[in-house]
Amino acid sequence: MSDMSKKNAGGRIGLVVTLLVLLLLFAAPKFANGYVVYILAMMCINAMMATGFNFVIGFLGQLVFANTAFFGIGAYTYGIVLVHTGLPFPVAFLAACLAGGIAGLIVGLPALRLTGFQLAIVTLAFNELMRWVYLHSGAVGGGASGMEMPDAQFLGIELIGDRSKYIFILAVTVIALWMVRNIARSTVGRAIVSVGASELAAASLTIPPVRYKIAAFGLSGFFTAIGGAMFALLLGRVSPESFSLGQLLLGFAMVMVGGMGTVVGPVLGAILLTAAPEFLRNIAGAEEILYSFLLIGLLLFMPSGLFGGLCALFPSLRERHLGATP
Amino acid sequence: MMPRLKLEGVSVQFAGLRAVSDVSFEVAPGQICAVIGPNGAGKSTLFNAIGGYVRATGKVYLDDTLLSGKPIHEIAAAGVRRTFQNGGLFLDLTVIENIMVGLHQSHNIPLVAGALLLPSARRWEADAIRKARELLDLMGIGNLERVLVRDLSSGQRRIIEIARALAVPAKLLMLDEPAVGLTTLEIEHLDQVLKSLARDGISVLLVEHVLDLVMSVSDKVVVLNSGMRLAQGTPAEVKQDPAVLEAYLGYSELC
Repeated sequence: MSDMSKKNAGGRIGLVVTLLVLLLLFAAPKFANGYVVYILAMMCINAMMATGFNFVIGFLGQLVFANTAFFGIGAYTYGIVLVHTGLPFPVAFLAACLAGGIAGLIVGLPALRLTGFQLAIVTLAFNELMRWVYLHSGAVGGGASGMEMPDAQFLGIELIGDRSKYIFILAVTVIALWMVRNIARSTVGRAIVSVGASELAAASLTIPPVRYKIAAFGLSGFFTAIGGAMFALLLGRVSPESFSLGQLLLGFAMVMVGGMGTVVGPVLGAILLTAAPEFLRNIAGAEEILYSFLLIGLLLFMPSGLFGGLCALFPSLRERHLGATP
Repeated sequence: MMPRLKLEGVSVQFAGLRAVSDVSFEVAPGQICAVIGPNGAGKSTLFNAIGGYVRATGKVYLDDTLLSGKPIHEIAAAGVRRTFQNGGLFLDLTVIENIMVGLHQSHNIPLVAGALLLPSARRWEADAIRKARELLDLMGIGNLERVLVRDLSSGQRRIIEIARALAVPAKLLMLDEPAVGLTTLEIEHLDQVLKSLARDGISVLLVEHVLDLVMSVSDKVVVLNSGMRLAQGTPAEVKQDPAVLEAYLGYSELC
């Protein structure tokens, strides 16, 4: 009984803290300068990128390197629909997410036959293929110089300037992360994790491995593309160099540093690795070295990531992330 | 009575090696049937052939349904559940989460309902948790609900794996060496669990080296040697079969 009430109290504290943080984040444009607001928006975008990545490398446990492609597909689809079709902003945004999801489903097909390094290389090739497509997109995607996008309007509000864009991006991120948390705690999340742990054991419990592998890829593409579309919205333009191998490694590092296979981990990783370069920028000349040391140190001393480290300190956190013991 | 499980000439071939050769037998509803034989006799391979884990020739029927050729998850959905020799639990999930994965067939919430936490999804999830708790209490391990499987003893893991296999009503339960690593007390517990399952009409197919358990619980014993069925009958009959004594069971163990 006392255990139960302690748990409820813990849950209530967690809820209050979450609400306070959200209030602070939504109020940020009122008191923070434009630079900080821009960084906060980038944190949201990277959080979605890492979260999408985590569906395949964390929950499904597969070495997949196609996520910059999903990110780019989200960004380009958003831009192309907005520029070339004249459809309203919400349609362009939704189309971008769906395009990412469909790309995920397609990339998931080779994963039915390949695993490990082979899958890593095939998905990496898909990444490079998409970069070739952006570069040769001609009038549709602007080729090497990329494309500029018109201003967006949502519910009658002009999304001009980083502050209004940030509020939209933050709201979408909060809703998307809430959905990811729910999925991770649902039958679908547990089925994906179980297929990742052992396909045979999962199948022995009536879980069709093929369906849930494909689902993990589709979800990965969908949530990564949300990040991509928000990225295009924030910058007002897209160009091929934004979707390089460096971007891919950054996303990978965010998931690793934050904690693979958890809902909170990739978000923590994204926040840290987005903020770190900004803080280190003031230390001229040592920026890259310190950043590298930070990565090495974190992975050496917290092999299960920031969230794993937090769970070791506060075991009660663990229950609230995956698979949800109520 | 129609047999629960019926094997007709089941064979499995691995790159020239016949691991299982033309094996036929039947298991009645509520019957406990042990498959014994020396190491390499093809016992686990036979399990894998029934469950769809390896490609096999011949026919396997569950009640009237032909299982042969179906994928693993469909055979499981038809009512064949199993445990694995080396343990098939998900180590990084808690005990209750493992049981809830076992409830997949009956509590499969659609993606969108789950993602948006629709009332229907909440109801199903709450129901799944309630069912999982009931099952854990029934097995006498309700206190382990929130423990990571990684932190449990092998005896506890065996019991949880059986509980998970039975989370959804099964027709046939296949246990691959469930007594490995168990204490005498835990083996007695397992003995009780198996007998009560059989009383509930579940057929049990058992691969086991602990012969005391085999002789105590089995209604029927099938002896394999080099992939072939050497003998079958009640434990008492098999004990006396000269071919069995010759091929496998040490005289001292049986007399």
